[in-house]
Amino acid sequence: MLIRIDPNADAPLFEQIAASVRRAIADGSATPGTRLPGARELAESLDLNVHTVLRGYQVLRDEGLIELRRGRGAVVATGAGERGALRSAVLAYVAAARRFGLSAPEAARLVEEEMS
Amino acid sequence: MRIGWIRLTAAALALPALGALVGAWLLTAWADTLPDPVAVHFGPSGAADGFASLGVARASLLLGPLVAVLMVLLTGAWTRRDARTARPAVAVSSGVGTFITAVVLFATMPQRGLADAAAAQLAWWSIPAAALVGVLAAVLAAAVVPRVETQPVTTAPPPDAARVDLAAGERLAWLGTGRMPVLGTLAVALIPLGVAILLAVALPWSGGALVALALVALTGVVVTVLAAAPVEARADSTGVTVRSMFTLRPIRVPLDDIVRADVGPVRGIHRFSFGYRIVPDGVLVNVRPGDALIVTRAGGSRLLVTVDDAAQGAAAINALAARARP
Repeated sequence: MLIRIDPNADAPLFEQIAASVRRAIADGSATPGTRLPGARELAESLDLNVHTVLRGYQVLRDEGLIELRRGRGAVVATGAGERGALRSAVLAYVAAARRFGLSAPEAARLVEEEMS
Repeated sequence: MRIGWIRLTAAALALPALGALVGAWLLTAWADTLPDPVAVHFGPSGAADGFASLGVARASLLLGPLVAVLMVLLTGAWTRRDARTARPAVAVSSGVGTFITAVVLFATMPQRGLADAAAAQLAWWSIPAAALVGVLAAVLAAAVVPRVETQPVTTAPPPDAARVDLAAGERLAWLGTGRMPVLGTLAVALIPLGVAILLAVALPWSGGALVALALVALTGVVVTVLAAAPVEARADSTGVTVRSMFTLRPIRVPLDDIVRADVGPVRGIHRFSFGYRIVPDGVLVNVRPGDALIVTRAGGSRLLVTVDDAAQGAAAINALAARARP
């Protein structure tokens, strides 16, 4: 699993960590059960504060992509592949909607229309 | 980087030779109290079943140094005298050689005071004690082999070594793991157990020897399971770190010691072995069939680790190495 962060980029660092893990789940290099690097270890490797890494992991947990277990660390959750793909599609859609100058309610309405 | 034949042999030979000398001196000192012939071979029940003159017993102490030299010469030829693998090669050769010498000594020692060697019994402690002496000899021998000092690599990995694109200030961390399927681990753990059960059924064992056999079998199971334990490789701006329960200490390769990283199959006979292996030109940590991450170090030594996602790992390492060398 390749985690990359760019301090010069606009996205916050914890979000970049979460994005790297999402990408690994989407391209299949992280399958359900795969253990994520320990937060302290990863913070050391990337020269970051450990809380930044933990915040990135919490975002992923809230999205249902990973499970945080005491003693076992962070593990890619069952069904994460599909959730990850869906999440990537949503992010791509949001980016496209912004390009077209749509507001959030307008973008949501388009989705609602498609799903009804 | 290569280590000289003489240095390699001397490091492996020193302790077994010292053991043989001390053993020969002790056997000479005990000559009056030992039976002649003495018992030199024991059946599985611990009862003596092979005898030889005291002179032959003394000469058999030389088996230890002889085996140590043979082992270190064979591994030296096998690894092309790679300096980094010299340490484990010397440790194992010295340990096995000293163990053999200690077994001869510890099997003869309890025969003092016996009129007839036919009554001799192999003491229950002789093999474990000899094994302990062997382990100590291995640790000591490893400590005297000098660490390999190489100049930092200053050239970037060649263009044919794949790299990930890296922005100017971007930071990378890659983590790859390799594990043997649970069934595979179970299968290898059953091998020492199966051999022990076969031996226990096929030969007449005394109670004490049976306990010793069970202990050896248990050690075998623990070692094989540890050898099949998952391995984890990490790459970042400091270099590559490989962790596995079997190696105890992590194997660290600093970034400035890396010439290039690749992904490729494990070739040769050691493809079928697993655990920590000494292979031509370096070290292999093999826990499953399939491709390995191959790190080429300054001086030509290689480190091979069978982890998943090795292609991405190699590309990350090459990119980090290239950026660190203007």
